[in-house]
Amino acid sequence: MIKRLEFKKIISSPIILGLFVLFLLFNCFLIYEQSSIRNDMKSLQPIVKETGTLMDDEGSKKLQISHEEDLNTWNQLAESKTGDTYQNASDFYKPELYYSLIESKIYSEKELQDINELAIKETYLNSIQDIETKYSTLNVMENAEEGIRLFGLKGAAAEKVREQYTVLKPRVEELIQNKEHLHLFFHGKMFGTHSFLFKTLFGFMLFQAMILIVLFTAFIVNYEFEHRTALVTYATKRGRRLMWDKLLVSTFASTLVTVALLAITLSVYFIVFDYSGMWNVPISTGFLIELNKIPFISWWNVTFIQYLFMSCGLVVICQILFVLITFCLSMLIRNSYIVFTLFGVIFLAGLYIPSLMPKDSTMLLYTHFSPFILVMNVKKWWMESGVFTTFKYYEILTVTGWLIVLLLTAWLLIKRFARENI
Amino acid sequence: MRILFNEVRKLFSVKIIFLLLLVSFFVYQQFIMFEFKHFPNGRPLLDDFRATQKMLVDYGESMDSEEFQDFKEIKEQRIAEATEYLKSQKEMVAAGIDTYEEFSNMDLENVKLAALHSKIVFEDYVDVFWEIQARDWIIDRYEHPERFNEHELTQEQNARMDELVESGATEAIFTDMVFENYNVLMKYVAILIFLNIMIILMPLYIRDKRNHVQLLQYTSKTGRKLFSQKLLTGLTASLIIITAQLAFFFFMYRGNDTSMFFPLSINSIFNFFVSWYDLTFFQYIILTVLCVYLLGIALVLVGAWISSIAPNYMTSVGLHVPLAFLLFGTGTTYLVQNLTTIYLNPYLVPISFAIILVLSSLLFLWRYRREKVKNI
Repeated sequence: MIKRLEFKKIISSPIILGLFVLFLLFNCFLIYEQSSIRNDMKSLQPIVKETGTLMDDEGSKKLQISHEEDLNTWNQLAESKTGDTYQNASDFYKPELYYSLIESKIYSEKELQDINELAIKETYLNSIQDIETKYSTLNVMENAEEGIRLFGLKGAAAEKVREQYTVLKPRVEELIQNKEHLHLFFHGKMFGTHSFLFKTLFGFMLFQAMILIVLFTAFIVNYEFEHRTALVTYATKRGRRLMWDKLLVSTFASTLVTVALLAITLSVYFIVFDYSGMWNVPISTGFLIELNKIPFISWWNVTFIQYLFMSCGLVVICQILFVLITFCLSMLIRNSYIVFTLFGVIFLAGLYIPSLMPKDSTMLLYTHFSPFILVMNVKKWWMESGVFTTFKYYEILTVTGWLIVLLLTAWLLIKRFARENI
Repeated sequence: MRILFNEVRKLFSVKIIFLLLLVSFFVYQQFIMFEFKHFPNGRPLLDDFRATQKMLVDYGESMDSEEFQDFKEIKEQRIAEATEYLKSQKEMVAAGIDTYEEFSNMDLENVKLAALHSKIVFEDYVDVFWEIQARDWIIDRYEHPERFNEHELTQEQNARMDELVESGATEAIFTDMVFENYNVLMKYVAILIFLNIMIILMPLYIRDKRNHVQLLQYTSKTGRKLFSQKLLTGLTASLIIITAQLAFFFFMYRGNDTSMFFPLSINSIFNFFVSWYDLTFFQYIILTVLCVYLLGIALVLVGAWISSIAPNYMTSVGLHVPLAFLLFGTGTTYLVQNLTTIYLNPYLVPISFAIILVLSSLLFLWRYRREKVKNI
């Protein structure tokens, strides 16, 4: 009963609902802005249907043959129309010819779409070779050295980084052996889907949920104090136990809000962008590599859908950490807007602390094990993620460590509150 | 007056001042200090900056064709120095690279030569090679003023460009580094100022409401007047904050040592920014400061309105979230950064300010009217 009433305080406040709807609308707007590439993305599905996602020797040969057939068909058409033939589809887009062709309207809309699809197919085909060379020459130890040099790491810190990358090395070999890198997926350099989904969208959703959660947690914990009913409520033994209820309810509400935000936004995303046939592609595929040319090397062989759910789960757990941080702050400071501001300060401080550490101490690496740094880099969760955070269990260690410490702190604060003089 | 003084004192409690200092410290560390510490950011920007400073000392505020010849001569001297340096390096001579001409046409595909090249440029950081590169860039900009308006522009924009070239404003020895650096800094400083104002104004009306002292106050005539007094309080408090923050910022900015650029036209060919007006850098700085003050005042009106309607802090903070999003993003991009840029309508800035100020005043006035006769 009490829990239900506490929950009602959150749900019935118009500002929480209003912000929630506003955030959803904003996410939809982001997706809408990106939606111009959806048609080009769609041309991957027919290819996958024809050849499957795995592009080993057999798969790539199939793709090659299919591409040649299509090119032949196109060339026959082109020869009958303009007398030109093309070596490859991208030649069609050479500026000296392309504009006059478009202006003279020789080709119909449909035909232009065909050549566009053919050109996209060609890009996938041409990428296979690049990806194979890239992974066969990939040396993660070199990347580690490069990072160490770039950030000026020395001594124990540099040693630790090397140690972690030595652990990563067999995983890379396994990845290549499994041919995880040769699976067709939306071309990263053309569409950048990974960055959009896991950096832009997930980043915004994390912060949106965080704002809501910090707001209502700070609100309900100090509700009695703000409404001057504290003296009555906390006069009884049951009243003092109210804090447990508040903690439970805010954790529950945070999960609810986060899941709702994720579910709705992601449904819109996957309705707009068709991922059918792509769910079971390994997340470490080389096709995902974006313009910065950094390969995605996940610590385990996970598929896209698994990766998506793992990340969603981690988002929910991160939000629980934020509930606990806000709860502890609210127990110490009885003013909700100062709690909100302090939370922001603590967040910034969490990002700032690593830069205070000496470059040769392993503390530099361990200070990166914080939820604040964790949520800034969703794109590289469960993966090789630069020198500071490439630990096999980085995400899990960070959240469990903080969860234990924060739960203990919350427990102590509630215990203290039970005897506090108010 | 006494009410005003006491109200301001209430806003600036020790706790809040401490909080503001904390916020400012972290915002400075995360976003602002970088632009101070790394200005100019790396090479050849540093060499570009040095060359520009030398130009200012040698040629005064602008560079005519005679002075340009001198500038080119200095480059030739540097090339001679570079050649001498190359001749003094055994490995370079051995590789057949003993003049600057050959050095600049080196085949970088060749691994051995590329290693030599990067040794001189990136490992030994031989100044003269960087300087030549920077000077080349300046010469290139100067010799091709037509690139100044190579974008597709409307007629008015083109006319403005031509007018600038004719008046000689484009020949000013300004640099885009200084301008961009200031632009980025001002954006973050403006955000920090707005953040401070939001934090300090949050309890403006809510505190009295929560403490139920309004019941006492509103029974008297003076008490009803408190509502407008509190707006004055808010304005005073935020003017104090804006002034203090700006004073601190410009104190820090002195370290970037850009005062010699103050009297120069920002419409220089060496700057990528073109303004609708003939502004000097100093005038531009004054303009941004003015805009920060105006936006700050509008924010006070909106913030006071939010504080007066919100039943609790959660609602108040919640309403500030979209406001902050708009103000920190769009607000600073169009109304603090790149003011009067030729790529936007010349009336955009004044009209937006007029609309923002009028709307926020109306919002507050509406509330003020109701508050005067409110039944409590």
